[in-house]
Amino acid sequence: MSPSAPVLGLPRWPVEPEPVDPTGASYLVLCLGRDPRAADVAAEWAAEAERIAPTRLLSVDGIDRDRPKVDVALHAARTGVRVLVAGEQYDVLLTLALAREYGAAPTELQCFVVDAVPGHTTGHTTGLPVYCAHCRWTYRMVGAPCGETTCPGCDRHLEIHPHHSALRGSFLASDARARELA
Amino acid sequence: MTSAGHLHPSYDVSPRRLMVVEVRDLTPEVRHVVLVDPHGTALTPHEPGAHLVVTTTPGGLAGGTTKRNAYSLTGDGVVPRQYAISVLRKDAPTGSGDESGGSVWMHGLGVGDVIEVEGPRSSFAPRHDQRHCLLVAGGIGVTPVLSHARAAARWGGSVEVLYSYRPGHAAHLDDLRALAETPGVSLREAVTVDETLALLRDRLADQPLGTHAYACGPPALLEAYLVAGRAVGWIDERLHLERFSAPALDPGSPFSALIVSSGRRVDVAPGTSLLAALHDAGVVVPSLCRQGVCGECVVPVRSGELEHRDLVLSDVERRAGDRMLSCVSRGARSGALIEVDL
Repeated sequence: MSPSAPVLGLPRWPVEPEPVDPTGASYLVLCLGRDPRAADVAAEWAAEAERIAPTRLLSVDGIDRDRPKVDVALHAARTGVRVLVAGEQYDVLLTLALAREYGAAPTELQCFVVDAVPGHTTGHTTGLPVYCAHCRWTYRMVGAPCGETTCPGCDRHLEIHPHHSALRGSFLASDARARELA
Repeated sequence: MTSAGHLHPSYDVSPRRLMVVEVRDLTPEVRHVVLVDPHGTALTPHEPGAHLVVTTTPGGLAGGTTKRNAYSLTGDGVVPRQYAISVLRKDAPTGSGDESGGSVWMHGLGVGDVIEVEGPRSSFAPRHDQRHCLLVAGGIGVTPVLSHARAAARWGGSVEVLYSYRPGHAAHLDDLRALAETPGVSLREAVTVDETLALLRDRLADQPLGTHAYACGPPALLEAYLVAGRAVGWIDERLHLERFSAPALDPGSPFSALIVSSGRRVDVAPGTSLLAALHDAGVVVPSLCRQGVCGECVVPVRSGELEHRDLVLSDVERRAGDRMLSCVSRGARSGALIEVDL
């Protein structure tokens, strides 16, 4: 990276699922959505984790619909657990943020995303959690960091900024026409 | 009283005088000392687990040596009107020829005495993002743990305290038992080594996700705490600890240090610390514990391979190789040359 290149706060996704961290005392494997690849990865992780320590595999339709189930699982987890999350980018980003809210540290989290280009996600259009600065709400929008999309809440044409908030699990977006005079 | 810049005097942490207003024996060996500002000013607030540096003069002012001893504050640190410390008396071995230490001097204090203190300093603070707190105290290590527990109770946090002590020698046990009546605070006690080990294993295995643990006590207890935590999957960044003593170190190999600002080269012989060698060369580095525990004597390093022998720096800080604790750490090998950025 050249010295003048901006440092972007973007997630970097692994190309292949990483092996399970063997130092966990228990494992919580979360499979989000119905993508067959996510189900395969979660099943492989669960099988690997079960050989190490007690493991729970929880498959849900998505974080929006099944957040209470994920909440219950994280609430029951004990320190020493490793949380592994597989699914589409939208679900994985929000689920990782939820796990952080429950106190999970970066080294206690592993994830695999089935609908993103490994490495930087700039330019790759997919479902994203996007925080609209005008609605002050997070929606699922289709787009890419540095790209543009329309807010389903306020109908503004939004610019998706290339910064991901680990706390919110979302990308910040604001009015793409804000600098244009009426 | 001195104050720096625009700060109100009650935010002063520079060396200043405080007056003893209460002295009370908690156990045959532990004395509780309460200090206030002689002018009645509020004292500087502090983080839970902070300590005060007290200038002591074992042997008396005439001909005695001046020492600086660190003592944990037992209060929660919120708008304190007084600082309270509890001091374990440690007598020098008979016939050792060693002057009795600062703790004996502290035990000689009486109400109305005025002493010099510096701080408070925070080196054992709680994580502000912790969801739950597990506190582990062994013996006099209860002092910072009590501070953490009181702060957690004040702010409505949830905390579990494990206290390992010898019956009849448990400082602040009554305080912890009273705190355990507060919602969100619980206390578990152990009075033997086996009980302590079993309690550590049992409780570290059953803490909510997001718990941070803090331990203070003798080296064996801290070692058992780390082993028990790692065995049930705790990552090191959750296992905080404060040491008040360190195991003895070998004399180490000779090495040299180049002082960047002056270009002067200082040779450090086996059995001599870089801190002492720098002092002999007229370069004063602030120090406190001189056993690699407190971090006071850290010096920036520009180049050279290091043998870190302290108990303060994290693995990441060690790998960076840009600082060292001059009281215990050395050049990596015999004859090594390091550049210290002083």
